Amino acid sequence: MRELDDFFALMGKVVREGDDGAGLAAHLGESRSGRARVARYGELVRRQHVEALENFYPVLVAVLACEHDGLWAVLRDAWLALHISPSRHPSGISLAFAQWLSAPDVSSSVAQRSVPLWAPELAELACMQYQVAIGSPSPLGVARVGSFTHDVIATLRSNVSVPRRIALPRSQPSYVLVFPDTVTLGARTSRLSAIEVAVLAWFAGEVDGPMLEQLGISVPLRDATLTQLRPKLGVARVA
Amino acid sequence: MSLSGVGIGLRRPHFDALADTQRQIDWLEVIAENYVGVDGSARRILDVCRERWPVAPHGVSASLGGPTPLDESWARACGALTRLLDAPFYTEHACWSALDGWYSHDLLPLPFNEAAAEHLGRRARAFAQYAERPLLLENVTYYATMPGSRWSEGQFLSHALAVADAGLLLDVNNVYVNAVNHDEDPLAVLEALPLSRVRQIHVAGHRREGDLLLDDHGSAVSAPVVALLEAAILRVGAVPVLLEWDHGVPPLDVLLDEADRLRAIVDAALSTRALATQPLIANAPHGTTRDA
Repeated sequence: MRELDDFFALMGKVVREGDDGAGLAAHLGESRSGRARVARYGELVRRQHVEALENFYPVLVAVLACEHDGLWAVLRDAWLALHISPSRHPSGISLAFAQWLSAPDVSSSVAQRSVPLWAPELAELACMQYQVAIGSPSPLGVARVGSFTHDVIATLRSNVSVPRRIALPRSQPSYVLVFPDTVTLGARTSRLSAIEVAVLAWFAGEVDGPMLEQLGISVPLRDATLTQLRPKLGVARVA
Repeated sequence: MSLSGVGIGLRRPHFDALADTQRQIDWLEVIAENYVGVDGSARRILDVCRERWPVAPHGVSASLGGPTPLDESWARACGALTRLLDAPFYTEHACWSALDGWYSHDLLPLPFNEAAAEHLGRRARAFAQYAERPLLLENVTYYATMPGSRWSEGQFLSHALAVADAGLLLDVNNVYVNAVNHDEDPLAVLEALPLSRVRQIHVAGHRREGDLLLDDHGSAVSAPVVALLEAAILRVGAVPVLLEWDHGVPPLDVLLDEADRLRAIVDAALSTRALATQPLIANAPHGTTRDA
């Protein structure tokens, strides 16, 4: 087993870090296929991770390509260099990428390129859509509420096959409800008013009734608002 | 529930079209990682599909040949999915794909030697025990022979499957791709595999990239792979066949056209096999033919 343990340790460097396989060859001998073929596995694995990211974030990739020449490649490569792939499902790469992208020091970690504020917000919205589509539980049952500094909904609805028509997110504070789409079996989005956000916070148990009334939301207004929103929540609130 | 004929993979771009189609679909294969522990839309479409067609699970992340301790809870969840689908077996790959909490999302080959075959076989047997369902292991592509290899792929898989007491999911496209990439005769490679253990077949497209054929599941099945599929059916008989198409997924009708084409080829091969194994006069009394 010692030889097999060594194989995993040394081949692990090839597939995870893009090592050229010299250490593997020195320890276990050259591959009959040649060292270059062994080293190719680093590139093949890298492609899988790039594909996972780019399939998950088609709009983010497209809008960065349109408006910030080369920034997507910089962000992607900086992320891949961290070798984070924490889940057996490829979406785990993308969910972890969104967390990294939202960290305050990410701009300095990508060679001083300024990362626009809307980039992590677009990523966060894509993650919310994914979580709603797979039915991941939330305080609202399945639906989720996001708070953004930019109007990311309009951009996320863009047709990525026509890059010039992608709307750059405008600076505009917005609340977004992401909820199950019973037709496409994916997720839909809609803008929320401040009253709707407050009522959903009450529905999720994060705000009590008196606090809603202090905000000027009466019980009849609360109930009427919730009646309108309830069909979008998909399932009952998790107790 | 038994599987037969030529199935297709259940893929998101086809969710809508599947609901409406009246065309023949023999069975569906689902990627287990997309459905284990998942609710929501994916689970709903799975429920809809299993009312109309047999559905079988296929895993891509168990890393049965890898160094990371076997994930017992994952194996149990895969077994539960298999039982939910009433599928005859769970299928995975003869490879490794995880290291210290990092997932490669690629199917990585093992060195072809006794230690690796034993390791793979023992872990596959344990996985099947946790899952409480029979297991099939699929032969994977290897673009390079891994350092430390002292056996052929056929020797490696024969030993691993014997230790695991598992069946073989024969990927005919992988056989062809490996043979071409390593300058071997595809039929000889096929015949060196433990064909008596084949319980299912996969076919797919591939593409050339530089000096390699890559198993990319991105096109129709090529003529040499179809020929190898016929050869496999002649040798192993009737087993379910699965058409894989994962990149540049075509419209459902195009995919089903390809499945129809393969079904006709498989049926013809089965007829040929039946003729070749049939006695000249069935149930003839002993000596009758000689006396006639």
